[in-house]
Amino acid sequence: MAREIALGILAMALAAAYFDAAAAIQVSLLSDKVGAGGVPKLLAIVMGGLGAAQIGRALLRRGADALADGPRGVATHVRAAIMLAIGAVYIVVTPLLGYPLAIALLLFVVIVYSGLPPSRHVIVASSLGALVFWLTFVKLLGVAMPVGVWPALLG
Amino acid sequence: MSELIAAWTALTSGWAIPFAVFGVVWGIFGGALPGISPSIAMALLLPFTYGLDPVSAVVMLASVYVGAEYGGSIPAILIRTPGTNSAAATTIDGFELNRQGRAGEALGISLVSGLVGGLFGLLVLALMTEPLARVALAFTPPAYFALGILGLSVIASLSGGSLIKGLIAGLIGLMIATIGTDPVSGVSRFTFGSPDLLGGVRPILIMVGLFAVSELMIQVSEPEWAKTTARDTRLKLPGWGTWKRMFKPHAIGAIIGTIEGVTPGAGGTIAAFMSYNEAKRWSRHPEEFGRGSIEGIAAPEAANNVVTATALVPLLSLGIPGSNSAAILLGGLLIHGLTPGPMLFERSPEVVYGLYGGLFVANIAMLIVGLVILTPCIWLVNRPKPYLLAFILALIVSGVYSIEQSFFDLGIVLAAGALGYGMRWLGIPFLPTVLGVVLGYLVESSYRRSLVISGGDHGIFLRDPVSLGLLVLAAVLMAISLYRELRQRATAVSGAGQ
Repeated sequence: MAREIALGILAMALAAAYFDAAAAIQVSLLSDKVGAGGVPKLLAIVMGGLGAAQIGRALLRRGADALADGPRGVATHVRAAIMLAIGAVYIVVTPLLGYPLAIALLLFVVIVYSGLPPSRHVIVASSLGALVFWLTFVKLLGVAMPVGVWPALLG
Repeated sequence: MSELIAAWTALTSGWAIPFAVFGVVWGIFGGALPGISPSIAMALLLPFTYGLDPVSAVVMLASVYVGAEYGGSIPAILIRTPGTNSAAATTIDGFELNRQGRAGEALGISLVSGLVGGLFGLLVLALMTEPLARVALAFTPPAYFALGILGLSVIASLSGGSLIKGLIAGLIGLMIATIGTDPVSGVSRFTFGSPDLLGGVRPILIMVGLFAVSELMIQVSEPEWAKTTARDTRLKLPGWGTWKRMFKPHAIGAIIGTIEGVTPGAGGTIAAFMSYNEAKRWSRHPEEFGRGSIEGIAAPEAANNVVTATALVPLLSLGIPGSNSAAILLGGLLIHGLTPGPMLFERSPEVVYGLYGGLFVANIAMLIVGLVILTPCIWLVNRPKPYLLAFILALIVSGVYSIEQSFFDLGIVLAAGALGYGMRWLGIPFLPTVLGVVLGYLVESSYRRSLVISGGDHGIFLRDPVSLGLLVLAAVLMAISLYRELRQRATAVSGAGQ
């Protein structure tokens, strides 16, 4: 039930923050009667109402609805968050390392993080995978992937 | 008969057939990569059409469109990552079947449903372009608003048993859709000073984050979550019993796909979700939807492939490109000095009939290419899980970056992944969020444009006959969904009481 109530509180908090941001939208001379903030304000009000309804429903039903994917411990959330963090680190390092090296490292790190011990096989798979991605996106599709600091360093 | 002969002559007198096959292969490849939309796959080939004869050029571009719309369903089923917007609905039951070890069956249903939809759409395009063009002209801003509301009415049945949670999810999507430049005044909203947000948030970024990144987070945190004892290792084409079950969802997909296709701007995504919803409503086994339903794949796949052909109706007959892909095709026509519209049929019939023939070849090629590549695709996703997770994340970051060469977009995808993970934990369905993101701009911009036209009078939505009809239909569909939910809840309560 705590999660059901938490959802209602989160929805109301989101509604309040969104309404506040909608109220701060500047008014344009070109604007229509509804205005740029009109629809967002309406959405915020409805969201607030739904949040309140969710809390009321949770209190009335008292755990009658079991959540579909069951309870999870803190450790599983941390593992999931680290996966997200790996993606965030990729965003930071790719402009420096360049696409081929960054994607090879991403493959290696995720394979190891997902349960395989570091080995020559994992290194080969990561390298070959990076080559396939580079050929597909850079050579075949012509996407301008980051080249990193290497051209500047190597002259 | 003379039209058939004209189509055959136009196709066989040049290189149109090989280019149709190449276009399908390229389209499937592009559609299967998250971030490479059908229009991007077409745009990449546009420069190559300069040197081709007009028929081959138009046929190749249209074939890419056909292939890409189908290709989007492959990663949707295999790795829970819709390759295109319109494949999002296929993800629901397609990935569920895959999780049960029935990926080959899901891919087989998707392939034949795509073929049925594509051929039906072609038939509609060839026989009914002229009368259907009038439907496109009947759509005014109030009608577009009503169409968006009709699309949103699906939320009630996508709520997974809790209407409040479904509505919260839908509102989150609508809120995301308001990010960017205001459609009427041009004022920036919720951009927090970031120029990257001025153009809004692309629906595909939210879909990839919600579906794929959240799935990766779940998979990596609970290693035994997706284990199955027996898995398909080959593509399985549907047997007679499955064909019989698919008849009704195919018919639903065909009707909705035709209507949505001829409406400029509506697109395959709305058609797919609405078809999914109606297939569930008319099914004898609605309880299977969301748990690996055959009909849940057949209906959206048929619908979005019907749209690939019927979306060409307003383009060919009126010169109105109803989607990004149609706009690229328009570019291909203009490059060769062809102006779409009624005169195209008079001045260049060989191009029009050649296009019809090319689309037929493209659909057959789609079947053949699918038969060849899908079994290796299943083999790929049956590799050890650590490799699979790593390659999916690499595919996501590479594909998403390819859209705009933007790391900011990658950040949005990761944020959407975190949102999806949180929504799962809180038991919120995220399909309504997807609908909200896809339809938000259409609903708000049409609503406000309508009020500008009427001087603020809301009666415009009731005076426009198309708008009125669609709003009544939306109200009826929502009422039926609510009634069913309440009835199911009452049955569950009485069952628990006994």
